[in-house]
Amino acid sequence: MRTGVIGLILPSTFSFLEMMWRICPALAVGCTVVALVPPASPTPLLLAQLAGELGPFPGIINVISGPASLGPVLASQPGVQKVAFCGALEEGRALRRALAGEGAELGLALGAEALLLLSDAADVDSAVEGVVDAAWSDRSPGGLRLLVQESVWEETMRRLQARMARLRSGRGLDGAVDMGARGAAARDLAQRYVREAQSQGAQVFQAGDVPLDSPFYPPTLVSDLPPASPCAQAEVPWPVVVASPFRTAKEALALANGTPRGSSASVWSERLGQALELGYGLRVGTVWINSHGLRDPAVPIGGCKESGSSWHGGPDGLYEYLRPSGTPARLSYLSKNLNYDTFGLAVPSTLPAGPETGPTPAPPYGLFVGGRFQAPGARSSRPIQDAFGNLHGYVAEGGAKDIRGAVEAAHQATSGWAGQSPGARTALLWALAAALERRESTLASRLERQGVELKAAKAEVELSVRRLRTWGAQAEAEGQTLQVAALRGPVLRLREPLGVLAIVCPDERPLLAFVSLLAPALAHGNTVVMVPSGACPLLALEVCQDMATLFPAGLVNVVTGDRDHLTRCLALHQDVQALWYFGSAQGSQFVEWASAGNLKPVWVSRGLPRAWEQEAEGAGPELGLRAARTKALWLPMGD
Amino acid sequence: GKAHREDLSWISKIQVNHPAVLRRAGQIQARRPVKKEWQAAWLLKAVTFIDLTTLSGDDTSCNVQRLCYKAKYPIREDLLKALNMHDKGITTAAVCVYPARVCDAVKALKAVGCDIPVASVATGFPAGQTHLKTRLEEIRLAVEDGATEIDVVISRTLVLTGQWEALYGEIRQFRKACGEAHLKTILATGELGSLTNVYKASMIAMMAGSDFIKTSTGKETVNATFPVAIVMLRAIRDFFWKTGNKVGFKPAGGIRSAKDSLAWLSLVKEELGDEWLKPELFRIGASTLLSDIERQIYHHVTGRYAAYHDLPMS
Repeated sequence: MRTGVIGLILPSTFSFLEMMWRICPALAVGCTVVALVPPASPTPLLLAQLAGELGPFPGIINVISGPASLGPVLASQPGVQKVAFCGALEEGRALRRALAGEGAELGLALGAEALLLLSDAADVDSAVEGVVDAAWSDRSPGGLRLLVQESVWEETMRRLQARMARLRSGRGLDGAVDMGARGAAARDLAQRYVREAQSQGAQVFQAGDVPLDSPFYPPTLVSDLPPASPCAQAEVPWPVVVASPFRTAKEALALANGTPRGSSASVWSERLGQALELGYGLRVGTVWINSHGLRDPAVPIGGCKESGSSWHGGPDGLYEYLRPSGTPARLSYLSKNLNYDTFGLAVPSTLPAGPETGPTPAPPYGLFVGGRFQAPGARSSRPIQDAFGNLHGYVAEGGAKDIRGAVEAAHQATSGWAGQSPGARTALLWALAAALERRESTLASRLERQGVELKAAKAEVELSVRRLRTWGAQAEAEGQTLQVAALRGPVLRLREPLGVLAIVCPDERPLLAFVSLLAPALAHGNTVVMVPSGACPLLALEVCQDMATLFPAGLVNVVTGDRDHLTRCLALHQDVQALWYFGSAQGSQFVEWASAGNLKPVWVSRGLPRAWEQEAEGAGPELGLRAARTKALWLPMGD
Repeated sequence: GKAHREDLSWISKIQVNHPAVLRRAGQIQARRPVKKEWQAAWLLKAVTFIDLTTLSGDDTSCNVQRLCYKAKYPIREDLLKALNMHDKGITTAAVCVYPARVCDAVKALKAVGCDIPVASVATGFPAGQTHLKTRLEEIRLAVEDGATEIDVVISRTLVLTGQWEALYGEIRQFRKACGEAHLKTILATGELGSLTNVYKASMIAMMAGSDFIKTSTGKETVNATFPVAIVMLRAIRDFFWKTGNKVGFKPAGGIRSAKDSLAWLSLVKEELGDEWLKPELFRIGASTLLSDIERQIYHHVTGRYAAYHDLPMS
C-alpha cells in the first residue's frame, strides 16, 4: 500500500529528470508530494501549477521555494510519512541526525561521484568517450574517479588530452556545445579542489574551448595525486576527473571499493569474464559494462555505503513509496530529553541473583562468536530469571570489545558465505531446521519456564522450524532481467547481500522472533551479529549450540549483555552495513541518530510490538526486501 | 619490404567496442550544426572535396564528358558570383571512372582546360575476386592511360581469414604497380564483418603505403556509415601518432544530401582536426551529392527552392 505524504528535498543544482524520477513513482502509487526546492528554480513551481490544474485533485504536488534550512522543518511536520533527500553528503548526515525519532522515514541519495575502470583489454577510444559522458557533459551528475591499468596508462592519457582539446563549453541551451555551467558555487568548489590537489603534488591538465569568465570551468584532468592525500579521499567535484593507475584487477577492486562512496561505476573491458568479475565485485548501486551513464525508468538507480540507500526508478523506486499493507501510519516518537552522548554508555550493574535452587548450578553460557562459545571480555555473567522468579541460567555480559570481535568474525565469514551458491545456503538453513526439530523438547520446556503454555510452546517451535525452511527455499538465484526499452542487451537487477547485518531482537517471542529475523538475513547471503531477547536469551543460545556444528565460523554471532550498551556499540560501528532494532522507543531514536555515522540503513520498531506469529509481519516480503541490496548491471551488446 | 613482426603484434591487441562506437556516432550527428553563411561556405568547401564519380555499366564517352564539364564548373556561375567566389577556382577534387573510360575522361578534361586528376578504380572493382596478375595489370594499364589516382579494392577473403601478412603483401604490390600515381585503398567495410577487422585492415593498408583509405566501393549493401568512419579515423590518427605520416580518408557511397556532407566534414574536424580538411587528405566519393549542394546554394543565394531543370545536369 502507498506510504502517504512524501516530502522531497532537492539540492541546489538538480536536473528536471531527477526531480521527475522521484515525483512520478510517488504519484503513480498514490502518494502526494511536498517538494522543497531552492529559490532560484521556477520549473517545479510550473509543474505544481500544471498539476493543480488537473481538477479533481488539487494538492497532489505542492512546491515550496526556500532555503535548505527548511529541510528539517518540512521533514518533521506531523503528516509527512517519508522524506526523500538528494544532495550533498554532510547535509544528508545532518538531516539524518535531525530526524531521529520523527515519524518520517528517511531516504537518502547523496553525492554524485562516479567511477570508471579501464582495463588493458578495453577499447580505449570508446572508454575515453565514456569519460566524456561521465564527467564532461551536461548529463554527468558529478566528477569522476578514473582507474586505468598501468599498461595502457600512457595511451589513455594521450587520447584523453587530445579529446579534451575538442570539448566546447558555453551556454547550455546552445546545441553545439558539450557542456554548460552549473553556477558559481560549483565552479568555486571545483577550483578549490584543483588548487588543493595541486598543492598536494598532483599534475593538472585543462583544455577545451571554454569562456574564461565565471561560472564556466574547463574540463580538468588530475593525475599523479598521491593516494594518501586528502583530495584522494574527498568527493571529486564536477567537471574534474582524477586518474590513477592500477596493476591488476584485484588491485583495481580494492582501490575502487576503498572510498566511502558507492553510487555508480563503469567497467571497460572486452573480455567478458573479466568485465563481469569486476562488475560483480564493485560495491556500487549501478554498474555499466563498456558504457557509461545509461538510464532507463525501468532500471533502479541507487547506491550503497555513504551514497545513501534510497532508490529511484525500477521496482526498487516504487518500493520506496510503498509499505506493507495494514501498517499503521508512522507517528513521531521523539523523546526530547534523550541524551545521545550517554545512552547505553555505562552498563548498569545487575543485582546478584537469589540463592540457587535446583540440583546442579548451570554453567554460564559464553558469547557465541566465531563459531564457538567464548568467554566475554568483561569476564562476568548476568542471571536470567524465568516467569516464576526462579533462576533460569546465566548468560555472558558482552561489551564493546565483544561487539568488535563479533563484527570482525562476521566480516571474515562474509566472502565465503556470499560466494556460496543459493543451493548451499538452502541446505544449511534446512539442516538447522532439522536440528531444531530434534531439539524440540528442550526448546519447548525452556519456553514453558518463560510462562508459555506447552501447546503454544510446541507451536512456536514448529513455526520457527517452518520459517527456517521457507526462507531457505527462497534463497534467491543471481539476477533478474529487466525490460529496458532503448537498449540492445540485458540489464540485470542483482540482489546482493548487505554484508554484516546487526540485529537486536525483541524481548518478546525469544525463539520465534530470533529465527524469523535470522532466516531471511542468512538466506540473502549476509552474516549476522545478533543481540537476542533480553528477557530470555537462553533460547537463542540453544539454537547456537546447533549452529556451532552446522554453520561456518563467524556466520552467526550472538552477543548477550546490556541491550542498550550493545545497541550503542553496534549503531556507532562504522563497519556494520545495516542494523535492525526491535526494542524501546528511545533505543530506536538513538539508532536512527547514530546511523548518520556511516549512513547505514536502519530498521527500527519505534517501541511498538510486532505480531511475529502472523505471516505478514513475521515472514512477509518486507523482511526479504530489507535483507539485501540491489545492483543494476547493464550489458549492452553488439559486435 | 615485409611486415615487421612487432608491428603486427600491436594490431592483434586492438579491441573496438561496437555499441560504444554507435553511441559516439549518434552524438556527432546531433551536435555541431552549421547555419547561414557559414553553411554556404562549408558547402562550397565540401564541393572541393568531391571525387565526382560515374561507375555504371552504361557509361559512354558522352556522359563522361558531361561529368568532366561538371567537375570543372560544379556550381552555376551566377550563384558563385553572388557569393563572390567565382574567381577562387572552385572545382571538384577529381573525377572517378572505370578503367575503360579513363581515356575519355582525360580527353574531356583537357578539352575543357581543367587539370584535376582522373581517378580510376582498379583491381577487379567492386568485388576484387580476380587473379592477382590481372588485378595488377589493370592498375598498370589505367596508369598508362593517364589516371593519376588509383582506387583499389582489398581482398576481403584475406581479412576474413585473418591473413594479415598476405594482405600487406598484396597492397605493397598495388603500391608498386601504381608507381607515381596516388593510391586509395578501398576497405569495403560493409563486408569486413566487425569494426575490429575494419581497424586492422585500415592499419595494414596504411602500413603498406596507401595515400588514402576509403570506406567502400559504393556497391555494397552498407557503404559509408559514421561508426565505420569513426574507427577508420581513429586508425588514421593512431598511425599518424606512431609514424608521423598523414594518410587521407574518403567515405564513398550513400552520401546524397548536402546535410550529410556537412556532418561528414564535422566528423573529420572533430576526430582529426582542421589539417585533414583539405583535398589532399579528405575526399568524398559521390555522384548525386553535387546537385543537392548546388540546390542548397541556390536556396541560400535566391531564397527559393530550385526545380530540377533550373540547374545543369552532371
